[in-house]
Amino acid sequence: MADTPPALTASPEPLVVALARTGDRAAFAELVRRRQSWVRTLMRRCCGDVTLADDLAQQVFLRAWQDIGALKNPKGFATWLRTLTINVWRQQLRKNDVLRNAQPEEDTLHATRPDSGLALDLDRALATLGSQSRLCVVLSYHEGMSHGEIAAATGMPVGTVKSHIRRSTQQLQQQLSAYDQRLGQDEK
Amino acid sequence: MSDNNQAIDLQTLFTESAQQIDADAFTSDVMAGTERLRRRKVLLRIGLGMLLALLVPPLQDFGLAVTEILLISLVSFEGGLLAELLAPVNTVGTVVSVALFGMRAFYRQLFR
Repeated sequence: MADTPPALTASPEPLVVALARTGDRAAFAELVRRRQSWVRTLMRRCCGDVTLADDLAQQVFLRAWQDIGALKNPKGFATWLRTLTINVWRQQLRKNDVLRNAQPEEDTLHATRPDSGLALDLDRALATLGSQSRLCVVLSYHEGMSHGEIAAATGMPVGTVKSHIRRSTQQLQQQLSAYDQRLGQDEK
Repeated sequence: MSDNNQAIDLQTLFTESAQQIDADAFTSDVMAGTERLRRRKVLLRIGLGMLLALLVPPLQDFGLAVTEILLISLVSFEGGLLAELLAPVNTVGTVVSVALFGMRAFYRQLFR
């Protein structure tokens, strides 16, 4: 792949988005470079399978490339991309029962993240949640979205979102209690 | 969002576990995918163009044949003013149009 022009690397995102909307491939590549880590991490948190998450993240960006012309406000690119990511994940959930494949694969996770004990444990804990609960928790804690925003993005009622998050939070707290104590010590 | 201490701790865990993932290979894969999409789109357009090119001559012939049939006079006049005045309605096309309007009215009468 061709190197990104330095001017593009230093440009603000709305400008790069505006260029990508005109079909500029270098600009779009720059957007992928900037946002790939975020989208892939979000997908990994949602599905727990590194390979599947990367495939889905690729689908997100390919869809973004096809539809970026429809994006009216370049400043809203991050929100738009997040919505695309959620939609691709929900589509995947509908397509097949991902939970069956969502157990973290030890080999894959270790191979790609050799020094990430916390990330691995978090993935393991997330894998014990139901798909809807997991999505709500990830959007809440990973993305910092409000209950209302999650409800709007997933089509679930706010009450359902709240109960998913409340129950899953308790479950995760129990499973990750060791880290909770460590965090407490760090704060002291 | 979350309004208790437990939730705040979980958020810290999520933040701490976030990692930067290598961009180059992934970006290359995505851009290769966009190139495949572009090629597919070009091929689709060429295919559609070829299909249209194949279909246009027979469609044109069919259209011309239908037009000729619709313009056939119902009653032949020996020239004169009357022939010219009645020319617009003295065609098979007029009969077909009237029949279509009649069928539409009949259909509405039946099913409304």
